[in-house]
Amino acid sequence: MSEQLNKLKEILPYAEIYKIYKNKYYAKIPKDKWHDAARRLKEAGYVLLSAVTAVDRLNSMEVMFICRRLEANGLVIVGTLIDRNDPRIPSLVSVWEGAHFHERETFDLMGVYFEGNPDLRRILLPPHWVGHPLRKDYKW
Amino acid sequence: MTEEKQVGREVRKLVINVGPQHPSTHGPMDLIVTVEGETIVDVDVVLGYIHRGIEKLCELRNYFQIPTYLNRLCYVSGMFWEYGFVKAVEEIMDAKVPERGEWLRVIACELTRIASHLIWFSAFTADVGLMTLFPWGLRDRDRIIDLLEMMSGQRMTFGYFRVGGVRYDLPTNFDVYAEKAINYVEKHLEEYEKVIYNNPVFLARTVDICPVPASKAIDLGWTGPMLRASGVKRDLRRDEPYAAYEFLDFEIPVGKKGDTYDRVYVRLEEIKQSINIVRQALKRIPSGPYQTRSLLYPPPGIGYGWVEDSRGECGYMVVSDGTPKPYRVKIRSPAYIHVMSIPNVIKGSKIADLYAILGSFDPCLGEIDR
Amino acid sequence: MVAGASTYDFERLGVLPRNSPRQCDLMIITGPISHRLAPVVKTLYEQMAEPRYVISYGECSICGGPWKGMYSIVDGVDQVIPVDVYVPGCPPRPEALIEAIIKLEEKIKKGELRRNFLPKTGYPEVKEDWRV
Repeated sequence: MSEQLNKLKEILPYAEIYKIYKNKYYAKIPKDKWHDAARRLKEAGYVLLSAVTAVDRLNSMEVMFICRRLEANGLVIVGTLIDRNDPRIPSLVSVWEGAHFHERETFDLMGVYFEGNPDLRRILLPPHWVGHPLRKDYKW
Repeated sequence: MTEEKQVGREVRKLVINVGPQHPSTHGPMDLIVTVEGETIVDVDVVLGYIHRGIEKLCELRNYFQIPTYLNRLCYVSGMFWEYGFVKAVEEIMDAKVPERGEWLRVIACELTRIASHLIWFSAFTADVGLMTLFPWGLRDRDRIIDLLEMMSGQRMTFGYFRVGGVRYDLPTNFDVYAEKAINYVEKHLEEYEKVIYNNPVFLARTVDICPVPASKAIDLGWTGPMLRASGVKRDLRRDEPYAAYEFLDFEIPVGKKGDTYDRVYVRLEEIKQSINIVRQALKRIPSGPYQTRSLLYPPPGIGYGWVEDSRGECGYMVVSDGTPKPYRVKIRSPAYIHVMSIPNVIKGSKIADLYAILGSFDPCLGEIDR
Repeated sequence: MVAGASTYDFERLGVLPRNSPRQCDLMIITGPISHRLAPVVKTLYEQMAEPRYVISYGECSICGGPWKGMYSIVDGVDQVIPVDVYVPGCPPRPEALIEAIIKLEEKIKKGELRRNFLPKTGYPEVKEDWRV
């Protein structure tokens, strides 16, 4: 629906927005606006957080979060690119309390360090594990 | 809370390890519970005992081989986990599914929802203490599993969904067998309600235990029956209808307070609504093809496909790059969020209620650990 | 779990689920074993008292199953503890579990169980001519 597209352009003026399917959009934002975009989306009605995840693009790391609206339909995936050798990005725990669990899993499997997360440690793999399995250069 | 104020008695913190092997059959999960007297102070959830690395495995196999692995994620509700992936790939490819295929998908999903809720019911009542109801739930689930075996050939890990439709058609006389099985389940459902809802022991163990207000449930990221039990009326089948749900007539049960009793109530009512949907679908299903040929692999892009699972929002984010194998598959599991948010909601409850609360959260360790 | 319910009741064969490993004779391993779970399985096996038997149920505990070769899976539970009966299938039907229990009972009657793979844990030695 184009009314969601217009609304998204208002909420995130610095983003490039592409359409994925009927009312699902992908917004690409610069790296330093990560926390700001999350806060603005939550105030505009996108209160349900679906996931915080990462994709390993070989010369950089793409971190994204997916959120949905409560009163109406609509889903937006917000993504940004960060440095692969030292992946650090602010945490979203102050915006959504439920982001804590997604960030722990992303740290465990991809190695992305979220600054500000109260308790960032491994969850699915044993604590003595070395390496991050979902990276493309992981050998076992 | 009054224990600290008693004169002459000191209360110390005790750490109890509710270890990976415990008699209620949820699966291997470790809860490290810190208790002060009888009150729970802190819980640490330790997962990863059956972590199989399915997200990494999806990058090593092609699009035809992947749905076979995905129904082993949550083995009690296998159909939904295949459907999410197939939906995401169909969104990237913009594939069309024929009408009969959509109605068959609805029947498969709703029968799986009934089976999943029945096994939750058995495990939950065994946790609460009503040991007799444990084999009752499994007896009814066996009839539904027989129907699913007629449709797909397998009792638990169905390989039923394909990109562009489903794999097999209904056998002949399916509606006769289905009607018999559904009447059997419905008759016993009335019996369960009589046993549970008037039982003072059950009510004392579930009413006002661990209430979660709607704002907290939304903030934590809950979906599905847990969110509906807190009073928020959101269901993907009603809001953004997929498959053939826009032609069907059903209600969405909602709770009031978000305590354990509401979660039990919402799930039992959902069984009734699913029975209603299956009856309507069997009468109105059109004839025709149930499968279309689609592309071998999708063009580059991103797709997010999610379905309303028996536990919540089961979502797949598929990133494709034009090769026969996906570049990245992210699996969003509802039970992971619910179980990991136990420390945020359980502080202040008593240790004897731990299993009742954990049972009402409906964990399925296959999808939590992936 | 379903094999214990009313359609395929295994209690008629004399099988009763107990809560503690100290009271058990038989351990049924279903599902894949990860690197985190392997020491737990070994601890449980050592807590069982002699005579003790193990059934390995499903492909994942026989050889790793569909997840063979993944980074966090042990390929088969017989790399951790000794196994007496293997039940193939993915997943095997409940009738297969009933057949496995009957086969185990026949094996015990004939005295065919492998006794030379027992871990040395300090339990009393089992003599070679031991019969049920």
